[in-house]
Amino acid sequence: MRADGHAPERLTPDGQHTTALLRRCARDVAEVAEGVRAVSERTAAALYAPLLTASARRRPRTGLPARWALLRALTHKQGLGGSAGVLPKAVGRLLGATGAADGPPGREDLAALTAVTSLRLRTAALLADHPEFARDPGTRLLRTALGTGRDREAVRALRALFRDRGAQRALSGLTPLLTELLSLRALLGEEPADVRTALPAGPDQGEAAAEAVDLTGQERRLVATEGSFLGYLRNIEVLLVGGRLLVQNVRGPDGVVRYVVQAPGTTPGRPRPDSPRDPVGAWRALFTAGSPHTRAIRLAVADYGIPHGADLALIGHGEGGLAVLHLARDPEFTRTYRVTHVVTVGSPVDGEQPADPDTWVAAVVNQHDIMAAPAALDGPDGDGSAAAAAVPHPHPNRYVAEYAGPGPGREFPRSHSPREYIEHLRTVVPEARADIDEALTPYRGPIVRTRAYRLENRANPPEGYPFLTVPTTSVPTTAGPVEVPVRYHDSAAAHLCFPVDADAARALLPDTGRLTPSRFGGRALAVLSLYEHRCTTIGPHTEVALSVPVDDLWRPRPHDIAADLLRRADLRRTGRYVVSLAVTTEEARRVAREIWGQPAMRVGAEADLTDRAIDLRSRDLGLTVEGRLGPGVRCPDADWILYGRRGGSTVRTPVRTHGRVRLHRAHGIRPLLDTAAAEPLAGPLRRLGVDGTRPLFVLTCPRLLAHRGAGTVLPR
Amino acid sequence: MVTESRRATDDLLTHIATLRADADLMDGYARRLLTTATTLSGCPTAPEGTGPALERQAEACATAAGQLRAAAEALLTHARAGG
Repeated sequence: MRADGHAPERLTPDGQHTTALLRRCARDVAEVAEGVRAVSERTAAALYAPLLTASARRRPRTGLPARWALLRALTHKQGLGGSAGVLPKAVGRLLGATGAADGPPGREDLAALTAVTSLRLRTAALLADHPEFARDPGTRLLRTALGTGRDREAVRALRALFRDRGAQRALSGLTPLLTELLSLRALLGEEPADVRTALPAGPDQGEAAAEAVDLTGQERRLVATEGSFLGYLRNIEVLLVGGRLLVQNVRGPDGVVRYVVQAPGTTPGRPRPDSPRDPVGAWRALFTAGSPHTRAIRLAVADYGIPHGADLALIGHGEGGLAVLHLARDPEFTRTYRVTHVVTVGSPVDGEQPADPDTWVAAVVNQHDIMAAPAALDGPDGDGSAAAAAVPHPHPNRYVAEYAGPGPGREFPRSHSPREYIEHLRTVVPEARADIDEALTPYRGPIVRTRAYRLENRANPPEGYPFLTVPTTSVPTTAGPVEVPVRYHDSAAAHLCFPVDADAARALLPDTGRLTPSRFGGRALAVLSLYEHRCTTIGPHTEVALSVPVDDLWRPRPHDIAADLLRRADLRRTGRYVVSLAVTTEEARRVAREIWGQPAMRVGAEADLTDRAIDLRSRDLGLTVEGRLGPGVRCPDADWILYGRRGGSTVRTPVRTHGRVRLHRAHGIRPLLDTAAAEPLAGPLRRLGVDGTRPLFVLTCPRLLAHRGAGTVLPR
Repeated sequence: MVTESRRATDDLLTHIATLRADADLMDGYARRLLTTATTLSGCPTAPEGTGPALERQAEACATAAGQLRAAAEALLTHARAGG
């Protein structure tokens, strides 16, 4: 393993790079799969040709054998293995056909089997290049499906995966494999009807919307007041959360007021603002000019009141870059406004030209950003090499800065973040920044007016509707403004509940005189909560929390906690005091500390809580929790009140959850400590006598929605 | 009537040509898959079982090629009989 966290490149015996070889082979096999599918379609067309059908009726002695031969070629299990569509089951079995005899048509034919092999190779190449994807929930689902027995079982497992709404969110995070997944899904005939019909055909279709919104005070302070390339990129970073877009007037050095549209993309692991029903399909729709995202930007530009014929620069990151490129290619848009510059950062580069040949188009691509350059690491000769600086483009109005970002920033999704690009443009490819700034000279000057728009797709309900459709407010933190309640769109949780000595539990609580552990028959309870947050408004992360249920702070009564279980969450008086909290991202750490008053620390941890087998490992904490869950029973949603401490006061945070919670007897699950250290989590766990102990019960929820409000500081 | 018969024969001949071309394509795919399987045999990070899977799929491609040629011959017989 190299210092940047990546495995060193392996070579085949004849000196080729293995990952480049795997990608090349995957592409070859995928081409074969597409070719086989085309052959199957042509054979089916011949079989059902109306003239052949009519002539076979006229001359059955030669016509029927001809149709029989075609049918056999199309459906034989050892050959194309396709479906005969309306073929009767008995005839299908007689012919050894797969489709009509075994299930729905066209499912496990040769094209699909070959595509699955291609996907296996592509997945192996991805994991060799980016081992961080092994932790991705989408990769886990995909590997489970691909590893299912033989090829036909793998095809069936993938088909089930494509039909599973919950799995689609996880799969949509697999941006480097999306092309293969979309192609395979089409080959399997699993493309949902609503996606096919939702593909935009014209600018008037769909229900895209753009609503003018106010920036928060902190955001207003962060938005650049002087036009420059990095300034515009920083604006995009500010607007990244919440699916917003910025339009600004800038007075150029010549005194002319021009307009700049700044379009952020979306970030993996954060909810999408345009609320697609099918994330994979929606991602594909981004590549079409009439996508809701592009149409919403057009509406925002129209609302801003830019005069016809005015100079306009379009700057976008990721999906926002794709959307502004679509706008620049739209002749109607370019007839209305004079699009002089388009700059994309972290967006896929293609050869398509803008509608106005005079438009200057620049692209900045980090080769380790697999969202922007999924195949870039193949390099020109497929050996992983690539230029590390701006590349001169043969076209005078095109500029491509393609480079390999250094160090730990290679890891996705960090390699895709605007912050990483800003840093690279400052330190790795400053010449690219200077070139683009020079080209953007007419747009460099004081900002005259700024307006933000929220982009929406009203065709679908907001993501997480209705549970996560809650009023929000922006709270400043040292990590930047954070919207509260923090919403968890896709999480998994396991709460291990241990009976512990009441005095030991009391010793872990702050000495306020008000926090006393709740008792159950003379014992207190300790809860070790494990969370795998796959998609949240503060980004994906893993969370490990140790808490102690405590009584009503002012009027503690026996059995308080039992009575509270019958009350609404907002009326509860008891709660859990968070003794220790470990999270895997800096943003989550700061939010927990600054908003909820919880003693959070940042650690490395990996969790898989989606299955019957629980698995959490953290080398930093010296903690492993693994084992299989026993049988469980459904129980109500586990809403909680969490207590923390900030500045000598107690902070009360309500947590609302929604999911299929189950209560399990814990047979084989135990937390195991493998560290001599007392902190951060090991000491309290030892003092509570939890190390190596079987929990009394475990509450689990493999798919959980939740929101945590802003912490309320209670009077001392 | 004569015109319709000629149209049917022309249509059949087009299908026959397509089937033969597709048979050649399938033979080509079989060779490509076998070459890929051979290439991957020297690759230590290739997923387990990929080589045999590619060989099976290559065999299926070759079988399909034979069946497409047989279908083309049957169609030709039908076309010669007057379509």
